[in-house]
Amino acid sequence: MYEDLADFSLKYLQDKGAKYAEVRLEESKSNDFVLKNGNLEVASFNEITGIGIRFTVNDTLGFLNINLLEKEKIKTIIEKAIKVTKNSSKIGEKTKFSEEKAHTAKYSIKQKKSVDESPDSKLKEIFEIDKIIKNVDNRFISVDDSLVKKYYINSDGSRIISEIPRTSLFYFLTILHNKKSIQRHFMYGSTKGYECLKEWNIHENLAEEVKALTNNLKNGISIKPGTMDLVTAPEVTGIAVHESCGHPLEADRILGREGAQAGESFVKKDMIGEKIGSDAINIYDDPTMEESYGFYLYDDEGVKARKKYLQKKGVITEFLQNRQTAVEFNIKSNGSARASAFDREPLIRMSNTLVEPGNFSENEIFEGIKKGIYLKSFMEWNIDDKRWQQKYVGSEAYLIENGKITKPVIAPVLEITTPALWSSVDALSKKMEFFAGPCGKGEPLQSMPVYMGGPHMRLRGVHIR
Amino acid sequence: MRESAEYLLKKLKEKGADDIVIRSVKSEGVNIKFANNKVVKNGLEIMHGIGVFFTKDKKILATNFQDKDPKNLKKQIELFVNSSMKFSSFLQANKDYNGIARGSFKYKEIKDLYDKKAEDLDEINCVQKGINTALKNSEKTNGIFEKAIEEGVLLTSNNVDKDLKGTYLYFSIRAFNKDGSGHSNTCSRMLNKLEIEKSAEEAAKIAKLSISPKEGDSGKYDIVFGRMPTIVFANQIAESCSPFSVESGVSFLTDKIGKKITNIDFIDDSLKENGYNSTPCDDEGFPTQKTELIKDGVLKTYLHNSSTAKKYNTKSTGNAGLIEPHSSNLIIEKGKCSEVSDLIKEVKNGLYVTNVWYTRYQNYLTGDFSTIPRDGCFIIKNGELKNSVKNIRISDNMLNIMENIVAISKEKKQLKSWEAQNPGFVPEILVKNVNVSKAKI
Repeated sequence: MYEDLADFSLKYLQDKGAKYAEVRLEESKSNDFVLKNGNLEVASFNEITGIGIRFTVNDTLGFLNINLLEKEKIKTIIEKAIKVTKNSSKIGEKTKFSEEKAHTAKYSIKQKKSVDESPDSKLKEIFEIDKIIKNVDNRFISVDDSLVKKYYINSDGSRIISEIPRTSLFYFLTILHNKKSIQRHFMYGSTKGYECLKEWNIHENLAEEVKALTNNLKNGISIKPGTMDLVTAPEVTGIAVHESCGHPLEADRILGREGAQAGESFVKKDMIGEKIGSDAINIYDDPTMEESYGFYLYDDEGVKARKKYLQKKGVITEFLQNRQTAVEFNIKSNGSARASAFDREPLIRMSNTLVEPGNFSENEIFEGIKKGIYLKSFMEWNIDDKRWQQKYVGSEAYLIENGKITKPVIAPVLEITTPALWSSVDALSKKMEFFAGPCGKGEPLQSMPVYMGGPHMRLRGVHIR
Repeated sequence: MRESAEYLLKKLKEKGADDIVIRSVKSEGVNIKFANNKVVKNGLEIMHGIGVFFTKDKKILATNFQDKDPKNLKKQIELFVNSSMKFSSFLQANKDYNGIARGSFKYKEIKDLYDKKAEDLDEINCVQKGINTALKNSEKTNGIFEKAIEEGVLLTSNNVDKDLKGTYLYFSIRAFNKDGSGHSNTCSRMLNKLEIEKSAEEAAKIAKLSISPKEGDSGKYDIVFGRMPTIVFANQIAESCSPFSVESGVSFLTDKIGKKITNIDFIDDSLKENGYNSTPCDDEGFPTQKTELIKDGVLKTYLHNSSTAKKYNTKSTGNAGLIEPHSSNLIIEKGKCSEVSDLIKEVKNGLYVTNVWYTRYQNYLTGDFSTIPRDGCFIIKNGELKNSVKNIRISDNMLNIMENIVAISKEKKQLKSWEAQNPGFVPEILVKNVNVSKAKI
């Protein structure tokens, strides 16, 4: 790696008058494989090393990124960046960072099947997965594995070295029958090496999924719109908690910094302590979960990561904070700042955002329902930019009658406000599951790996159509 | 820059690669983010990327080379080529691959792709101008200003050698006024055509008009879509025009070639003067063109590179993408629609939607989707704008939307957006009978 260049950059910034400075040197390696209808469209491997730097001069924030690994070029861009940032201070926000403990740390996650291993056995595994769905009318699979080595230093004295591998698999299926079609996309992801492809139980899951979707397509019924009970499976619980509990509690949204694109929040600065969900609801964000897709131990501002409870018994308890927003709230950062790569600034991001399990068995969740809908998976979803009203449309979904799952249902729609959704939950199952996904935020866009999940949830008296 | 590209090409040829494309681009960029009327980030970047695409026996590898040690460039390239060839040897052949374009080619001159004035631009002044203009009619502004100056070279094993140079400017501003908001974007290759103040005025005007929105109602509406949502729809149509999307099951234009699907003309024009994505050659060096994807409402062709064109027994439209063809500048023309100076006057009972976000599909093949109006969204009664509304959702089908476009505005504007990365020159459009849903509780 080029640690000497990072060390030089930090010192040079300080010499040039930066009050605060941090340098992220990142060396990433990745492989991508894309299969379309069983045909290997393209494979790629990429290696890139670059440096991302943040600093303040005249209390104004500057950022620069460069992948030319030469001292003179770095000096030139630092000088230019300082000049531009000073020039902007007349209309610049006065940027302050919360005081945080400086850390010296080194951590890494071992890969059993490394990013450097040749692609033949990796491809073999992908083709074996493709075989399971060879009769599906259209199918698309992409698999990525990566390793990011990061060297982070800041002017507070932090020095954090990490090696994080990630692997993900995405698929998209289209099943046709009598001029009708059903589609489904799904993603697996872990902070591990390529070995996780064998640990995800993809073969069995895919075979079951294709069977269920085909059944839905051939035999699914449409329901009469009305008020009824709803059970969300962990996948649907996960997207709901991510979209309508995680995002609105990001402090940078609440303070308006992301207002241009990602949006603001219906949650206001003084809403800690307000109840927006039922007593059954406890929600947390935990980056320290081993192997999770959103795993990290120190954020991109050098703050040690920890588990944060966002809601307890439906009451807002904590926002996701970075060092800038923490100053506004007169607290410490809770370590939620991440950048997708060296060429992006750190923003407040969710990591693994989950609904805590309850005490019900899955049978008990269903038993109490006379008539309702079971949303096992979803396809279409969206939520407004203040995170107030959202829509989830079932992919695999069923009718519940007298406590039993009876018939498949075609694309039932839940369109509901955030408080109505979380206030209507009266039961949670004991078992939780996690789902990987990319979370988008910022301009230029940053896609971050996250987990979303939780248990089965029972919602009473919601409108379904 | 050229030296490394040429040596990569030479070495890959020597090692037996069949088709080779090297694209080396150096980019210097500025990215200024503002929020709550203040600059919150001054971003600068210098990046040098060398994209490498090659095939060997129809096995396709796409990778990148980074010059990490300029003193030992040749040695690095030789090691890189050896490891790339080894990686490629483990791959399977792509049965659908039919090769890249065979040159040499003559390219058309396109006006206004590079602006020297952009080099020494005072970007902070641009941002300040935008904020100050918007603040005349609003309380708060958020947004971004981006500038990139790119220089590079495209080389292929099939006699393409083309120098590339361009400036890229983009300004996005969202204005807030109490509980109202408006958003407007502009992009350009030339500084004097970047409409910073006009966009700021538009965003603030919408913000002021949209104060105190009432709860909207579900139902069927005739909707005038502003340019921000129209560029989102244009992007959806363009993505569906890719054969890669068709074959992946994610195109609502599957099996629609030769069929009447709308009333507009829909054009992809890589040669457009000042076009944000204008370029004389596509990613394989094939000369670009203006392509009528939809003419008088009939879908004429998909976007093609040389490989997909051979598969579909047609000619390349100059839209490579080496793996997947992509659009350049999207243009909506009136076709069989009427062209109206004020679309709102045409509507008896409808909505004026100035922006949308979070467009997602239940089924890409059928086009069933929803998207959420954000910023100013207004009731139209008897040709006049009434109160603004909130908390509604457009839940419809993309083919229905296309079929029901009945009029477009006279004036077009070049823009792209967060949700619509492919730029275009688009008007406002009037769509009849659009389904709107909302949460009951």
